[in-house]
Amino acid sequence: MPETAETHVIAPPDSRGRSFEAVYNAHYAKVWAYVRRRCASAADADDVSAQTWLAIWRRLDDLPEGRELPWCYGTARRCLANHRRGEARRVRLVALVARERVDDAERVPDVRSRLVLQALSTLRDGDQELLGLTAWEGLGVGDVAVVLGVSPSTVSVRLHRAKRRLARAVQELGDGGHTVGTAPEAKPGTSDQ
Amino acid sequence: MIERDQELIAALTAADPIDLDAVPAPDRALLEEIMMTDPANSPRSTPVETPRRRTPVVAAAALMLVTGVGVGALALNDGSKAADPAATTARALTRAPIDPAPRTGLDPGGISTSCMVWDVTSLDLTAYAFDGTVTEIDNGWVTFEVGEWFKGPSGDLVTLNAEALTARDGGIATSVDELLITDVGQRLLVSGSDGFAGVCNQTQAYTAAEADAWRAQLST
Repeated sequence: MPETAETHVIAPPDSRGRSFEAVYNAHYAKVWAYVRRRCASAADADDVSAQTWLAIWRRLDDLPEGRELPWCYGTARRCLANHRRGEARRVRLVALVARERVDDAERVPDVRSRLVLQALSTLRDGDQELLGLTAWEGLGVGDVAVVLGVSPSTVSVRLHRAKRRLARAVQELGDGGHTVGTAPEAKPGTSDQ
Repeated sequence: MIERDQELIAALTAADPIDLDAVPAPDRALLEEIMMTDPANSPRSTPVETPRRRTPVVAAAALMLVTGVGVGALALNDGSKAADPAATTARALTRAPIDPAPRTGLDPGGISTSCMVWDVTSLDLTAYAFDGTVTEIDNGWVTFEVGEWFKGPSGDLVTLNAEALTARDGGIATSVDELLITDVGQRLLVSGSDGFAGVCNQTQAYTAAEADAWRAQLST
């Protein structure tokens, strides 16, 4: 039987498809970068990114107009959570991320940035996420609130506390006398938690 | 202070761990593959999806060990939620036979509480206690992957109503106790009854010492 060439007929996308394609093309790189910053490897980032876009495709009707990117980040965040599910896997991932972050820190030429990155790694996950969304994804309070599914006022309060804890961590790690954005210590008897 | 904050964020921005020049361009093949799937027939939930009920229930009694409860707004609420569409892969985990309590619809701003003094013997009054890691936070329901059951059934996963511990609109937990469940990955010591994660120290941040105390208390 003679071999025949396969013919693929790709139908033009409908309006839903066009909407998705527009979001995909506009935000693919940013979503991948978001995931990569929080994954142990580029291969993992590829996997989680693909899961994220599949989830976005399924939930396209829920995409909030004007807040598309933070909504995509929020979906990616849930995919990352699924990716990390399973304690043994999570522990391995944390170890990988921690090791990679050390490597990353060593690649950062700026001494102050390196110190801040190291200080960041000492903070709890929630603080790291808030600060990352602010510094790396460049989101404002309103968009961070969309990603995390909380109110902007909650984000403001938590971000303030996270910055304070980061500043404290930087101070504790020390940078040879050159302190980066160190906030004053909390007054005795006060607590931010 | 603001300038220092800005300097701090700027330093963090400069320390971005990835090389933006290495970020891949949109993957056309992936786009086409995704768009060939039927979103209406695609699975929208994970195999370990939280069970949900649509029963409107008022469950003020769930705030165990809490005295002086002043509930300003205890509305009937539809306890349903959309399934998590993001969940596509998960290893097979067993569920503990505990049903999460339906949402109470507590208004975060409408409750004031004070807690009785808690100590580890209070665990005797709870139905379950475990060391667990948060795997999902969803509209007041929290799913934990259980590392160790100190008391209660077996199972890898359990979903509980944790409205009072999640930070919706600032979180009523800020007026109840210190702990807030805010992030997947948080490791907690959890106790409670009736499908709730207890407040007022019934749910605490994990420490090895506290876990030892819980284990010792509940093994006697």
